[in-house]
Amino acid sequence: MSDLIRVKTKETVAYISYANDELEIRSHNPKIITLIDALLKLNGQKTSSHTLVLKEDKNYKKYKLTKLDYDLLIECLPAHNLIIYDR
Amino acid sequence: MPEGEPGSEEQLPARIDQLQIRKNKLEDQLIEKLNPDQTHPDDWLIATGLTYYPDRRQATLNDPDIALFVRANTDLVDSMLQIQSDLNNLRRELISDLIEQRKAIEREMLDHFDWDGFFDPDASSTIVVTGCLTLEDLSDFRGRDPGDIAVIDPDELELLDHHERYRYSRIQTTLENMKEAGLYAEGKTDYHHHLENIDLGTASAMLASSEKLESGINFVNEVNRFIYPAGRAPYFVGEAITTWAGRITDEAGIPVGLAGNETLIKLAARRVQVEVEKSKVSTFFPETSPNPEKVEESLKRIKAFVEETGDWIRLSNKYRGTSKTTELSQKVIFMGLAHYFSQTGELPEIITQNPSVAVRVARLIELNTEKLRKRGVVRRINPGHTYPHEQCTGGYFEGKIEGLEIKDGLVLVLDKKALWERISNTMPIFFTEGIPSIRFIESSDFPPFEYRIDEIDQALKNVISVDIVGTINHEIFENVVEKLNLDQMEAWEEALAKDRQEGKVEYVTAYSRVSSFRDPALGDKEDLCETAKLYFDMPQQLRLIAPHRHEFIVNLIASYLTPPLDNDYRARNLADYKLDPIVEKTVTKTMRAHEQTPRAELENAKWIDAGGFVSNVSTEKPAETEIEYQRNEIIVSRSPYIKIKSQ
Repeated sequence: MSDLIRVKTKETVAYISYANDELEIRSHNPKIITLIDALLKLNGQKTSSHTLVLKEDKNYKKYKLTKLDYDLLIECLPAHNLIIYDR
Repeated sequence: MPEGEPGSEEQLPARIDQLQIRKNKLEDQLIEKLNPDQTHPDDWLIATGLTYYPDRRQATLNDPDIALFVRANTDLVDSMLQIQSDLNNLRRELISDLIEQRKAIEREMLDHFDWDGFFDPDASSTIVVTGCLTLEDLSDFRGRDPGDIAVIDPDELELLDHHERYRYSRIQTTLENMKEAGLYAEGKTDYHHHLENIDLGTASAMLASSEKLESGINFVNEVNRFIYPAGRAPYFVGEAITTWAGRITDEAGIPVGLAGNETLIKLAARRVQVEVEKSKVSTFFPETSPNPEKVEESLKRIKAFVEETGDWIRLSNKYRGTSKTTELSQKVIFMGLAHYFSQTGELPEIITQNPSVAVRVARLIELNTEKLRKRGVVRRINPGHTYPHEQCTGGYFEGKIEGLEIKDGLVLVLDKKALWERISNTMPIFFTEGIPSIRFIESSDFPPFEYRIDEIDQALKNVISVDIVGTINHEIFENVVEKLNLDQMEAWEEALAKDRQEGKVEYVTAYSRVSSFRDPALGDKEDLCETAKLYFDMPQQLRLIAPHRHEFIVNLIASYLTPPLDNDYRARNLADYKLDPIVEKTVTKTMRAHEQTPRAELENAKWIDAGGFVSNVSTEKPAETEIEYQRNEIIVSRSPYIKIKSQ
């Protein structure tokens, strides 16, 4: 399964791609990467899965992530005003 | 009418019987005068054979054959109550010598009790082996504090163990006796389960009555034909004895418990035997010849009532795992009827073949329906005002919030005031009533996340706090589910069914879907809580994926708003809105994500609740006309802190 989505907040935008159990987040704004990171951790605690960070820099973060945790992330984005602009 | 000499033990029972007959006649006259169709319930007094509280203008309705609603201005009431008072006095006289005997036995028991073997006589703790002696008696006894509850220090737990072992061995003996007598069949009844949970008083009562058990069972079977399905009779013999023992102590005004009071138990068993001998169902429902139309109408009414309470039991069992007998047990008879009806689909013969019984039962139902309606057990009459208008939202959460303290090295994402406001400004008071506190605990499953100080800003705090508030909203709705009435439960079922029929999501979140794997009923209940959580977080998106469930929540909240605020709320939250078309396009897909998640993956995850709804708080004693609610605490495991990561 592979997926690519664009997530917007009022100020900024992030690109999320998911393929082969790997999730990548890119954004010019590191803040939005932190927010999505927190959401992954919040969901990961509930499902007892550990979000393993594979690679990161200021504008990019790559995780090892199950499909379930990816789905949970997508499910909860609107509640945090992270609008999925297209998919 | 011949008068018996008060105090003469031989004549007292006869005198009591005579008074009872007079009282029955008066009651029949009252029934003739009473026209339930034209009488407002507020105008009624309830007089029962046992208790009457003039100050409350009502009484406990604990005696189905003689309990009556009567009009306050009926001149017969006074005579009847006078007779009742005489009856009570005579009953006390009848048992006074037995009470003395019991006291003597208990004194003897206490004399033989090895006090010093158990604890230091100077210790302040109180141990009372039996409850029959008055408080004064007890305070005299070896200078110990009065009371009829054992207060055990931690050091004295061994004593408690001893008591429990004793209790258990008595119950086991009772079971053995029952088995020997062929009255207990494992697997066929839930008798064993009951026995494990009943107190020593009941177990002892069974022992005490074992010689009379056969006639007791005949009596109970007779009653069961009307009230209960067969197979549970032995338990109810014990229960009947316990109940009678309770009545005897009530009448005598003695503050007693049952455990160990053998005399009391025997006395109660004797009273049950009196019932066995003199009570046939026909005496509860004397033969008369009511007109056929009335009988037919009565049968219809009974059937409708039974079906309705059957719905209530089914839904309450589904969503709460219990049919909340306290709400329904205004008359245990109703539940028995519903139970019987649900098993056979037909009314018991005793009702259909006895016109007099049918009319009486219909009248009992009529008289109690209003109370049950208020409690939401049966449907409310006017669908336009389905729910009570109670409070508007705003500033009403009255529970405590614990565990949101400021701590060194940790950043709090949400303070008490902010949480209080977020709950109070969105929830009607009805939703949070019964929740004494919301308590945050430290859990190794949910340690605080670590971020650098430059990463921590309000947006990050918001992400975590939205999740926490969402969890709390879910748990608050666990509380709401406990209180839903029949109309509300049916409205939810309807919303769920409509959404599913229209191809909307089966479950609104992954969590409710995964709960449905354990049990579909649990899935539906969790879905209600998850729907509510989404409603507060993202109402428009919820409306897209589950419009009927969204509307259910809007209506539920609106129903607790005072008019015209209710209509405003509905209009505001159900109004047409414009969602960005691109958002609209993606939301449906997004929120359906969990539906495409393979079942195995959902099941394999080790789900841990970030919040819990626990009933470790005592039940509040309700006023008689209110519903009894368990007080449940919300415990939040999710950490409300962010730990500052060292650079």
